[in-house]
Amino acid sequence: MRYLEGVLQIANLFLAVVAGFIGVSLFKVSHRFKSIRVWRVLIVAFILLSIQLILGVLIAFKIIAHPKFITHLIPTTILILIIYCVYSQIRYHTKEVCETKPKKKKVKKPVKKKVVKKKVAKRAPKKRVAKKKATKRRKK
Amino acid sequence: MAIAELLQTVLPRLNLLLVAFLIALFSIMLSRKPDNQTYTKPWKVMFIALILFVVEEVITVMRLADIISYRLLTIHGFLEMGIIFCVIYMFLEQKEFLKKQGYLKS
Repeated sequence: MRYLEGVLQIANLFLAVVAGFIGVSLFKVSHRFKSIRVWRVLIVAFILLSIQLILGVLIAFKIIAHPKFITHLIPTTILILIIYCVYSQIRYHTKEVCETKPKKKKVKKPVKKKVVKKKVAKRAPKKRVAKKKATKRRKK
Repeated sequence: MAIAELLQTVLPRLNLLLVAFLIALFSIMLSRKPDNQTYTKPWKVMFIALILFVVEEVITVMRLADIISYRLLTIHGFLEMGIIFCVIYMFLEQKEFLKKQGYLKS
């Protein structure tokens, strides 16, 4: 049984390292695009998970003597990070759906044509009239 | 030392509470209508990983509370392996999706 336990621990260690590498490679991409920005935090959470697994193996093989509460503290941090991720994903999703939802076409009501009375612009006084007025003034 | 012991007993219970909250959030997220823009498969895989974590944590809490006592620690190893498999699968799925979208070079 102990043999099996040890094998499992080593396998977990190997898998955790692999997951960590894949996570780091995704982390580089997630900086560039808005749609996967949430994944940055998620990747940090899973890198923490792989660290926790590595710590667990090291403690099990008595390579390091660590306080045991750390193996509970790291999952708490991971869970908080995942909660943040899921919450922000929900928010992002709702935002996207609201923005992309096709708006209902408004049916245009037939508008009654209003009869607009044309305003007749006042004509400027003709030159002749103006001239007459000027001559009258001079005579006076 | 007392703080360490306190944390050792309190944190697993706190983890269970957080997990319950997380499951509620997941149920909200996954119950929505799927649309073409969001890719939910990695999140579903993460949900499976979370369930495995819950099982592990429940076992830990029950052992701490002396409800169950067992010497067979291999179950923890298997559960952790399941979690890490889920995580790797999730990352690979997301990578594949990014490649399809053209964000990543193949």
